[in-house]
Parts: sequence; C-alpha cells; structure tokens
Amino acid sequence: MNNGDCALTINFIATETRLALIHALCAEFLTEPMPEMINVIPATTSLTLVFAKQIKHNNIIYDGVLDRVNAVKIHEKATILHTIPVCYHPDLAPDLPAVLAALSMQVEALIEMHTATTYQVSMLGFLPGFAYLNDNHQALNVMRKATPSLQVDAGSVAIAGNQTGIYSMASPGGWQVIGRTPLELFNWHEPEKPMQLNPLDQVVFESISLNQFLSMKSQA
Amino acid sequence: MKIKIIQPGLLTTVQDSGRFGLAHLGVPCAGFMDEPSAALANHMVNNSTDEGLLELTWTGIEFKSEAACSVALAGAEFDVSVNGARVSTDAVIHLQAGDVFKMEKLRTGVRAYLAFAGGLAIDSMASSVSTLMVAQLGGYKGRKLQSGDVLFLKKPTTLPNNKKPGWKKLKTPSLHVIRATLGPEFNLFSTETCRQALGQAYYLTQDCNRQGFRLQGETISFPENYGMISSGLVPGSLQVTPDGQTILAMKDAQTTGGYPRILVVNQDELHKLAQIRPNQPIYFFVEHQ
Repeated sequence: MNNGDCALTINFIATETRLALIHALCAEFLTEPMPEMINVIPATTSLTLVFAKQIKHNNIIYDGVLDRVNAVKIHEKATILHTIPVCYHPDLAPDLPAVLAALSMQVEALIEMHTATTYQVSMLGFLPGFAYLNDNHQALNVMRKATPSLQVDAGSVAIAGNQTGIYSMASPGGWQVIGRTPLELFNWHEPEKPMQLNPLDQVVFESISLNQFLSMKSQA
Repeated sequence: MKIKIIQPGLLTTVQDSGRFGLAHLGVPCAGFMDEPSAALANHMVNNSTDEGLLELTWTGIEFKSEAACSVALAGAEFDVSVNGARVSTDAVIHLQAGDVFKMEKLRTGVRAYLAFAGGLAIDSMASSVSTLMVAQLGGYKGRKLQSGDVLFLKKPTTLPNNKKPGWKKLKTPSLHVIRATLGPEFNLFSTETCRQALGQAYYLTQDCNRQGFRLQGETISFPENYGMISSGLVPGSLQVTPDGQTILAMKDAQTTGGYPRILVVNQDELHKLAQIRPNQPIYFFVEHQ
C-alpha cells in the first residue's frame, strides 16, 4: 500500500508469527537495502519502507518488495525479560485521575492489573526509544487523548487501546500517562546499542512508591 | 576560524539533508525544512547542496566573524547589515575578521538558510549534523543556538560573487496548493468526509514547529471504532485527531503514528509548507489515482 509518494507500507495479516516475520524482514532490509531505500520502519502489524525518490506506480519496486517478503525466513532468538520499576502516583502521572474515572476503577486495582501482565515489546518508534508493549489487561482499554499533550516527561508509562507505551525521552504525546519509571532506557552515548529494550523482548512492571522513585532517580 | 553568536534568534539550528537509516529505532530524519532554499544558499558559496548550515525561523541571527569568510542567505528574505551598513542578500556576502553580521527585519517567508563557504565544523552523528531538538541530538549540542555560542568553520574561504537568480527567490503566495496522495487510512473515512477533507481550506495555526503543524479546518468526522494501530509515519502525513482537527507531520515528526492519515503530501512539496505563515489557507490537491 502506498504511504505518500515515496514510501510503501506492507500490512501483515494476523498470524502467530506475524511480529517475528516483520522483524526478520526489517533486519533483512536493513542489512541489504533496496536501491534508494532510506528508512525501514517496523510496527506491530506492518513494515514501512521509505525511499529517497518517488516510487508511486513503480512496478519494479513493488515486485522487488514482494519477492523479498515471500522469501524471508524467521530466525529463532532467545527472549530477554526486563523488570521495570514504575511509580503510579498522580504527581508523576498527569492522566491517572482521568483514566481511573473513565474506567471507574481504584488505583490499587489498576496497579494490580497493569503489573500482572508479561508484555512483549512489539515495536520501537514514534520517537527515539519509545517502546510499544502488548497486550494490556482487557479492562485497561482507554482511548488516546482527544488533543495530544505538548510535553510528556521522560520515563512516562502510558496506555492507549490495548497497548502500553514507555516514553524514553520527553516529547509531545497522546497516550494516557499512568505512571513513570526512574530508569533511563535510551542512551545516545552507547551508539552500538542505544536502546535497552528491543522488539520481541518481554517486560514486566513492578510498582514502586514515590519515595523509591525519587531515591532511584537521585542515584541515576 | 570561528564565529561568535551575539543574538541567536528565536529558533536557529544546524541542519543538513537529514539523518537516515535509524527510523527503526524511532529516530526521525530531521533535516532542512525547505530543502531547495538550503541547497540554493549552499550552492551560492560553492558548498555541496547537502552541507550543514543554519536554519533560522521567524527571526534572524547576529554574529561576529573572527575570520574572513563568505556567507549566503536564501529562503525567507531578511534585511541584513554588516557593521551596521545594509547589504544585499541577492549575492554572496563577504565578511572580514571582526565584522558583525546582523539579520534584521523579516520581509517574506518564515525560514531562512545561512550557508558558510567551506561549511560548519560540527561533529556528525549517524552521518548527519542535523539537530533533533526533541531528542537533544546532533547539531550544536543537540539544541538551538544561544547567545555566546561559538561555531567553528571547517575552512573559511572567500569566493567570487555568486548571485541569487531572481527566479529562485522565495515566492510567497497568499494561497497555497500542495500536491498530495491519498493517505493509508483514507478508506476508513466516509465518501462524504473524504470529499469534504479534500475540498476544504486548512489554516495553519500558531502551533507549528519542526515536528508538526496543527491545522484548523472544518471538523472532519473521525472514523468510528478506529483501532489506533501505529504504523510507519513519513513527513507530510495529514493525521486526523479524534477532535476532528489535523496535524501535518514535519521533518522532526515521530517515526510511527496511530492517528488515521487522510492524505500524505508529496515529498517534493514539503518545502512549500516550511514557508507558510499562520492563518494562511492551504488546499491539498490529490491527483486522480
């Protein structure tokens, strides 16, 4: 499917191996890019290929992409489990009161549901180090904010739809912030591996108090 | 071999043609908002067209040059003085050591490009010197310039008098028509909504920066039960938010987005958006596909 005149988005149908397939294909395009390809953007259900020139109606490119999609093989990898401390306190989570009101829920119930799940990193994106995690407890389904916030703090843990997201750096954003982690997940001073979380890794959240948050933050 | 910033202007950053190949980690491409104007400024001082230079937004810069060098200004037109005397920006401007270069009144457009002959000495990060402010990455310390900053020049040189051809000067129409293609989520909107969205005027709001431009238009009916699954986002995507308004993704925009995109601006038209002022009407023209 065209995504503007210089990019293509390939949508994948839901299968058990969809995410692994998208990341295998992404890795392959990164190692062996097609001519004029400038970026590859994997997402939860799609892969976007960005080119430096107009590719609209270019059948050679469409056929080339199709051949690569059909030929890709999935490699098995060991999964890594990360435990991320999160403070669910309204001082650090501006949208927490609104989310609790929308779900008619007490904060204890929200914390219990949000920390009970083992999530999978489905993609990185949006901005450097923003991690998308699937799937939330089904009771924690909220819409994005109608008007995005102009500033969301670094470390914010937010929910939207059936996903949780972690803002590794301060940025604008439209997800409902319910907590914050004191950890720094994205570090430019490690150019080889700036991001701690990778697609397909697993994540669990551990609830911490405001005092614990402040103490971990001061040691960081 | 260096220049010292006296007044940095509202938003002055180092940019080049952009940082590619890192979108899978969530790193936006950044780069010149108005590529042809930046290329023209670089060309006037015999640099390669993608050389790093200064992008100035709304207000100009004042600096003192500590070496003889040649500079060129393109894109938005400003009144410019050297040591207090007005100089033309239609040709390369030659500075002597100790000269003070000052941009004064903005005449047309929004973003100007100031190129230095030989280029700026800036450490490149992932093959680009573009500043990505939201990530505090690249450019000069990952931020906009401030008073007192010192920028080094690679090899300051003075040049013959390259001129800016009149036909290449920035045109500033009062009404903007921008070519686009239908967006990936176009078919989620009703036929009537699509007709409305493609026919109506959008007005640029004050809320417009390198990440995105919020536009104001007639409310667009948001698709019901929309799933909000994020996918790869390119600059120029017109995203509809649940309040029925739109955000146009620009060069520092996030790499993925979940709002439905009703259309995507052609990449060779993006530069026009960089020079539009708030409250000016924008129409999108989608060729039959």
